[in-house]
Amino acid sequence: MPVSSDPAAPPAQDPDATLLRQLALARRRPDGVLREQLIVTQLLSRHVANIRRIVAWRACSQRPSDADIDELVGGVLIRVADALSKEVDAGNSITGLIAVNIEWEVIDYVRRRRRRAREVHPEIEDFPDPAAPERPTLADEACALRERIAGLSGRDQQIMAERMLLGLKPEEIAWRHGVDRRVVDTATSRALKKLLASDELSDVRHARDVRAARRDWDAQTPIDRRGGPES
Amino acid sequence: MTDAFDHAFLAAIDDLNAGRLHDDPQHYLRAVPAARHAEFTRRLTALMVARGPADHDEVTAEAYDAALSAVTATTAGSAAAGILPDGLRRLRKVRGIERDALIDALAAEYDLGPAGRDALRRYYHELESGALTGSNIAHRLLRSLARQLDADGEDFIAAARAVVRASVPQRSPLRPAPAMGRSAGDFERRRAPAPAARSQRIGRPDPDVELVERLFTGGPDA
Repeated sequence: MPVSSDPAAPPAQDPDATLLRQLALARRRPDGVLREQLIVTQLLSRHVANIRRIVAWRACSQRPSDADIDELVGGVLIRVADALSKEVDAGNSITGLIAVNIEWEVIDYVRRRRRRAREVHPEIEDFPDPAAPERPTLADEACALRERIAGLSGRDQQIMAERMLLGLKPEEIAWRHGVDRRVVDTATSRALKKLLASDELSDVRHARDVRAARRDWDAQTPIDRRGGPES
Repeated sequence: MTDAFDHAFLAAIDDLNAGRLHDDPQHYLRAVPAARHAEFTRRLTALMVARGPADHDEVTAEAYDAALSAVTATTAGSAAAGILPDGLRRLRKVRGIERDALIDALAAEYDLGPAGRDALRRYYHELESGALTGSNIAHRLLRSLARQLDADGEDFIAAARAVVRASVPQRSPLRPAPAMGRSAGDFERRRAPAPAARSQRIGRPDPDVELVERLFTGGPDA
């Protein structure tokens, strides 16, 4: 199921979906070369501010400079533009594509920083690789968050969707539901705790499943450490 | 009862909703126990992905330029000149039109003599090489090019406008070509033969060359 960039809009009115449809149409025309590139530019430019915010947070442990963040944003945009230049499906999720590429751009950035740090200070031991395979990806987490909010009951679900996904202010939510602002805050806190708790359980379950799958795989296929299954 | 994590998380969400999320993540993280910084970052960025662009995220000129730079970087064209050069080359290839044939057609349309045609060839080469600033190209020329390539003129105008502003090199106009014999029928020349002849006598460029220069560098309305 594609993730709409605008939770309030039905799929037909989602600006990303509209642009992706236009892109697919332009690509079918022999004279659509310029239009295709203009549409991709328009599509990407809608997301630049959000990409910048996400990148700044994802890389914050490295204390990136503004120039580093600009470079990271540019890198993400190039990766997404490149992906769009190869394959376009109007049903694609542009936010999912962006999330995947943000993650890899930041991972590459962290690796570069660590490599440089080791060159300057060889005494520094190897850090664990930032791309931990058992950890859910950013795109997975975004998808799971929507599902968990949808799984909340009654008014908690509505309030959380309005505050977290639609970006409404607490006062607006209170007005829509005809309740006091404090009711919104209490409901949000309660729902947030439920979300975090279910998320933690899910993470534990996921990590356990990954470990179990690896154990099974190792037991079935002895791997020669130098590469390739043992004959 | 909310703990420090929830409190900071809701503060970040409300700031995000109001379009005033602090640029420095430490503004929120300093209220959160260090052991939960990674979790906070993970959850907040997952939320940002799930929401997509905010209503208050305007597409600024900088955002458009950044997107355009990325699109241009994935094509074979010159980064500074935007997407027009590569688009022109690809369209010509798709249509099976040689560069000389296109130049001949344009020269005929603007009734250019040999000097004007030479200038046209040089400027067109610069255009396809990405050496010209697209936003300085006359819209009537872009429409002519689109017509010759059986494409939409408005796409050409939009593509010419799409120039990566931060890195556009300033270039000086082409040196005037030496005056040569001209074909009959140039509209402007027919209207004002005396100034053209005078300009030739005092070493100013051929009016056909001037026309070509205006078309390629004189701005949208030239």
